[in-house]
Amino acid sequence: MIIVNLDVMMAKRKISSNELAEIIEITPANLSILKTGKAKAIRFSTLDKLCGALKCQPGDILEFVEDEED
Amino acid sequence: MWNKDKSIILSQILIKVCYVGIVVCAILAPNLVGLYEERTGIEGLYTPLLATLMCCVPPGIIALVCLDVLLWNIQKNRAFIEQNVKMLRAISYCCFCVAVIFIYFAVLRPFAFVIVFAAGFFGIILRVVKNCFQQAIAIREENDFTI
Repeated sequence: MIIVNLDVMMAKRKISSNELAEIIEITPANLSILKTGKAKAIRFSTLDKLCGALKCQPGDILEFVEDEED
Repeated sequence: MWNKDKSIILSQILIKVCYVGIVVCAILAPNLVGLYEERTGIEGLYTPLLATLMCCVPPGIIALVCLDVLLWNIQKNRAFIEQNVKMLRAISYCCFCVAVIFIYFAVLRPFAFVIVFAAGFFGIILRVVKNCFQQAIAIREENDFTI
């Protein structure tokens, strides 16, 4: 499964949710969905903006881990 | 000008008419069945037909209540929600229920197999519509959670 490490990157860059939401032009509610891992998919455009705002690579935000039942 | 809201209001009015129709038919059923028996001249129909019709009243009312809830949700722009799937499932079960009830009467009067078939067919159609709604909910959820 894919884990979203957005909160880790935000902590590293010392940026708040509201600030990041404003920079990447999405609503705080949608950013919260991303942070909590409730999102079903992420657009390339959103990922592009996130990487630009946090100055990181997609791999820093998204991580693949084996499912426990596998 | 005809629009979506007026269409829903018309459907709601028709449902209310059906409520009244079912209640009136249930009250007048003994007289109507007696009249039918008298007109057709077939003996021994009264009790089986009356029992069949009365057994069909609860599923009929349940189906109307479900339709009412469904229309209410559609009016509030909540067409693709889990509750509507439940309502469609309940209505399809009501159709199957009526089909099963009418099998008893169809054994006595084979023409009633038309009603059995029609009710069963409606039930199947509603199940397919329910499956479509489930699929639409899944698509909507995926869309809502694509950031």
